Amino acid sequence: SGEKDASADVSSNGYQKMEIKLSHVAAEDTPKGQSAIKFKEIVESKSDHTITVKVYPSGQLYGDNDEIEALQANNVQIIAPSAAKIGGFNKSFEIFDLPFMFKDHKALYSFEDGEGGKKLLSKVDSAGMIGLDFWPNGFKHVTNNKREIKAPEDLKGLKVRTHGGEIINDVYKTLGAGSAKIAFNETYQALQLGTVDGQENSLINFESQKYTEVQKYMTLSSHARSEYVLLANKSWWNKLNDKTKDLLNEAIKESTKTGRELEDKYEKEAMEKIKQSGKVNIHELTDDERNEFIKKLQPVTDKWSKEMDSDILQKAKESNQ
Amino acid sequence: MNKWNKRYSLFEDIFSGVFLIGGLALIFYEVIMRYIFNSPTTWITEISAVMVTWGILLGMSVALRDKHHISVDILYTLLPQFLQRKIDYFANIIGVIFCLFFTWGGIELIKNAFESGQTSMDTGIPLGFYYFVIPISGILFMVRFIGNIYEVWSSRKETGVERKLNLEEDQNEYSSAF
Amino acid sequence: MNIAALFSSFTFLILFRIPIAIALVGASIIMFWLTGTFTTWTIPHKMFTALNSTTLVAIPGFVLAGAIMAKGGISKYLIDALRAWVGHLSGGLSVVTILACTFFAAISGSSPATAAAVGSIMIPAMVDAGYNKRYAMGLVAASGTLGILIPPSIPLIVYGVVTEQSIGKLFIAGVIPGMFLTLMLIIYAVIYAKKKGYGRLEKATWAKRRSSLSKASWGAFLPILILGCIYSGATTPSEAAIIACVYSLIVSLFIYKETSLNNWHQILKDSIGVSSMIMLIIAAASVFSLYMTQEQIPQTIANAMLSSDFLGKTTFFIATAILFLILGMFLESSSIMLITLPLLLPIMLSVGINPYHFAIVMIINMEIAQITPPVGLNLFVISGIAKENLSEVFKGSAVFILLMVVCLIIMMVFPSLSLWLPNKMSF
Ligand code: NA
Ligand code: NA
Repeated sequence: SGEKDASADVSSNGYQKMEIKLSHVAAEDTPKGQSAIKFKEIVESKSDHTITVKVYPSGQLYGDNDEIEALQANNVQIIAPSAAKIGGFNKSFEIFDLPFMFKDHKALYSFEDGEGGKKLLSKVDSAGMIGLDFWPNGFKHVTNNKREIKAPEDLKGLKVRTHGGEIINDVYKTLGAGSAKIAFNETYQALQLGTVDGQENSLINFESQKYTEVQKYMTLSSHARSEYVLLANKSWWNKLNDKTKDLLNEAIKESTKTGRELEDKYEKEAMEKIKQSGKVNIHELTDDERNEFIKKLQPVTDKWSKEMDSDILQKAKESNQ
Repeated sequence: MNKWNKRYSLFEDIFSGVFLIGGLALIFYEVIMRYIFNSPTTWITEISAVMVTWGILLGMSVALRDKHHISVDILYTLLPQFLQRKIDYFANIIGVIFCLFFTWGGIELIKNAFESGQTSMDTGIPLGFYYFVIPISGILFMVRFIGNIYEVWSSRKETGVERKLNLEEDQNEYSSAF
Repeated sequence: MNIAALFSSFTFLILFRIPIAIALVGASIIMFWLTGTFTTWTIPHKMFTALNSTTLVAIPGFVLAGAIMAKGGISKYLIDALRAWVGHLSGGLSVVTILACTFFAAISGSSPATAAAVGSIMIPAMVDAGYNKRYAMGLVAASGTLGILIPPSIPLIVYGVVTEQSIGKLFIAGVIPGMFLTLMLIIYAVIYAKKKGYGRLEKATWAKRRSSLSKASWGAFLPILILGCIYSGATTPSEAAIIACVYSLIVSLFIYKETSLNNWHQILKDSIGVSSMIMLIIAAASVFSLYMTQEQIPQTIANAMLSSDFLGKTTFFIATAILFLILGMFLESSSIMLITLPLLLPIMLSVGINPYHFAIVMIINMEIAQITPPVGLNLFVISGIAKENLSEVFKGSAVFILLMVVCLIIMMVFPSLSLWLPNKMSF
């Protein structure tokens, strides 16, 4: 029954009359939330409201664990899950979790906008989905309550809450730490009471989830990237006419740009708030310290690189130069 | 008949119990590993939650058998006996339809999961395997609804008094929670 | 239109004695079919993922622990000791029940878990001592809601994240209102018991008291153990339910040694049945909630109620209380918060309401939602563990809804009850 909406009639302005449901799990005032709103604004205004976009933020409609199936069933047309989650279809998506894979934003964006990114997005094709673009969230940093982390040994014996994933688990295992999966809504208290010692997150998430209140040490490690993949239902997308597709593509491009600008802005604001709280000791890894980590984690990189598309990996490495 | 009914009930209890208790036991193991041995894992967390979910879903039929599922009696108690019987038929038939839907949906879901090849983040297990519980529990649940229909049918010649006694007996059997 | 069709098909189904869980899914399926563009095989998946949660394991955990305690002797000796110590006092046992709920509220972040943990011991204890069962069930259902007001509280965490307020401060803000509501419940319970003549057991001798306490000490240690596990960081609140199971298992098997194999079979099937019933309703409610969210029904209701221009503090409080009462009949508290808060926050700030103050008022609304039918998790938990009809449980808890509405009004009128403590905090 999900067939009939996409082939719907065409308006006199050439756009297909339809309603697009876009569901995601982040709050509205995050880069992803604002990207989604930007997408809605462009599509609706340029199509003269022939196309309406309903955005469902904060996991109101579907959460991390059911949005993909809802997309495959065309109950929603667009979602933006984390890349790590898409690793369940193709390991190459976990490239963002490979330790220290991307040096900085410039490297990341040049990968995403180039051949490597395009090839990576095409990897979801067989699963009834179309990869549209990457939406940013931020580099991940590690925080904890026990000690300042400057060297790989400092992590030994720490229990770190992560969102899971085989590569992440391996990273912490190699560093002599344990990666624990604590439910999102119990993490605050788990950090407060020491059920786990630390966690890893982007600056924006760290601040919005109020972990400033319950964490003492932050290391700006940028050891991995928290990234979202914008996905559409494949059969729905394929039934769009060229004019509609062009409009959506244009809106996606614009909203990605918005997301990238806002990531920068929100990260600075989050950093400011974290500093202002005066509760978190912040350490930025020096190049030497960073190299120590890279060396220590080389086996993890080697092991999981084998499971990824070598061409994509090559492109990612080139982007750092 | 009665002997088989007992065996089947025991099978239901053990089938769901193994998953429920096994899942809870794994959580305990994870607590020990994390707190005492300082080595938490994420895969136990995933497997234990799935096992508890299996236990709960397989337990739907146990709950129906032991009359735990909650329904509203306001209209029912006001009606004469022959209408009550009609409602009993109707409610249980809706139950069967729900189970057919649940089972069919589960099979579609499993097909979709294997076709698209999604695996879990922490264990790499294909997600389709986790969903097997949906059609299995749907069928077990349906067996109990059909059993209820059979009971209503076989009690069609009972007088009001006999029926009342039987109902009370039913309730007594399971009101020994404490 | 959609709203009316949804609620009438649900009402139709439950009137024909269809289990509430199936009626919730059934009404949603009918509506999705009418909508036309929804692929329904994802509904079983939605139900599966609703259950597949590491925090929800607290429910089967505490139900199982309760069943072990009931059959393994822990409950019996605890009840004996309670009767010996407070059985002669008017309303003594009901006060113990309320305090036990307050205590469990301080360990668990969820209300159904609190009700399950306390109810399985205290309802039989009160019924044994001559309390009306309906009243006993209502008391536990209502006191159990303290689980989300007294910290830790899962809904307060959700509130903090959505509204960007300090979660630590929100927790602190819940302390005085939590104690206030506890006190209100105690006063009501004592007056009610005096009137009904509850708790006039013969006064036990000191020898009897001492012997009953020593026999019950194994059970009495359990709450201390759980509190210790959580505040030492050994377990999360939901994992603590499993510690309770393991501890009661050990005490029953190796210390009291009163159980037979048959008892264990009964414990197992009771726990499976009761937890499946509760969890199936949670899963079904998530499907119902999916339809409501997709059609933006909560937003529609909220917009209709809050569109007036002359909205002030008082009208805002009243309008939201009515909104939460309606939504709370069908939706679970975290979804209500996620859906309505982004809408309410700007209005709340513009009419000058302190977000910490509103948080507490909203949590009390959510507490009420746990004991309003047709979807009230605490009602289902009590109905399950006490083996009574939902209507009986509701008749028992109706008066407590009134009591909590009074508490709600007091919290609205006196913001300092919620704000005094957090304002004392440094952060
Ligand atoms: Na609590
Ligand atoms: Na309710």
